Amino acid sequence: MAAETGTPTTLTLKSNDDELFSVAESAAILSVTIRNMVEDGCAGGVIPLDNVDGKTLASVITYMNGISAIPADEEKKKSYRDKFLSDKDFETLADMVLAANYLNMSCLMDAVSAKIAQVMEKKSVGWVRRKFGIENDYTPEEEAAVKEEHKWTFEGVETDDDN
Amino acid sequence: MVHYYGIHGTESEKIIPSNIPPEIIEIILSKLSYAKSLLRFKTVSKSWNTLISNSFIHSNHLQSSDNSPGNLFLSTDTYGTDRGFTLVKFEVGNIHSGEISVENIPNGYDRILCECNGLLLLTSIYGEKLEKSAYNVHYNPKKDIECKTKL
Repeated sequence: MAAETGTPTTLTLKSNDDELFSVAESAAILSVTIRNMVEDGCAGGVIPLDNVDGKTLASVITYMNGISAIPADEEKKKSYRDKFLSDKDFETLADMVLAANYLNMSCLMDAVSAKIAQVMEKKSVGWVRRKFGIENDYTPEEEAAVKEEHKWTFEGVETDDDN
Repeated sequence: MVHYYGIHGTESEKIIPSNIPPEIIEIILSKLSYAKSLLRFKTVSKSWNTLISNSFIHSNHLQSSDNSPGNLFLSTDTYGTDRGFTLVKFEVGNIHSGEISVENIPNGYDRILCECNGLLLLTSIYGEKLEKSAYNVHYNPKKDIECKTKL
């Protein structure tokens, strides 16, 4: 239970693969999930984050630290987010969107989902199925019919780059 | 391992198991800039088709792609069939009533009465002669929703 005068300024977060991370409380509470734990007085010891692995949590903490160091300037925050996400591959982005959702970080959630959408924009249907792990449950006839209905949307699709 | 039918029939495709829940996929899809991509991804699977036909995405999409002209499209009626509407490429600059150029003239519904926020009000010149087909067709290209109103 956090005492009124003794709220810790550093929190320890634990990933689901048992990695420990120290992070400033002021940065960590960008996560509403963590903020609620702090407010409920549950953040005295180690905060277990059962849905986030160490690699992803490290990345999220880099983001927390980076974005909270920027003063209230939405332009600068946006440019930080763009830069932060620019070199992330699809798998990393997918892990991050799940982490952002679990941690209830709306700004990261918005930015990562927008980035994933941007990556997907000109991709083929096959690419999307592979990356999202989606089973094609159409029969060949059904698939051909849906494709025919939206034929023009298949123009200008990039060649797959993941094989 | 999810069985995968490759679009090009490729064998032994590696599938990363899907762990992104539909509600997050919905958020991602709502952030696509182009209706063109959104409609193409209806072919991904039946559940994606359902998801993309869901009005939530479209209202999100309408909001987020308001400033993305050039990807609008227009439906055309297909007489005598239940197939409903097919899509026609629709070149657009600034849209003003009566100044819209359409690549293919919609079958029957060839008069654009007005446009508002991507919603077209179409009518048929034959409507005046043939009472039976005297409908206005409302079609929102981004929402992919159409309804007919009897005049």
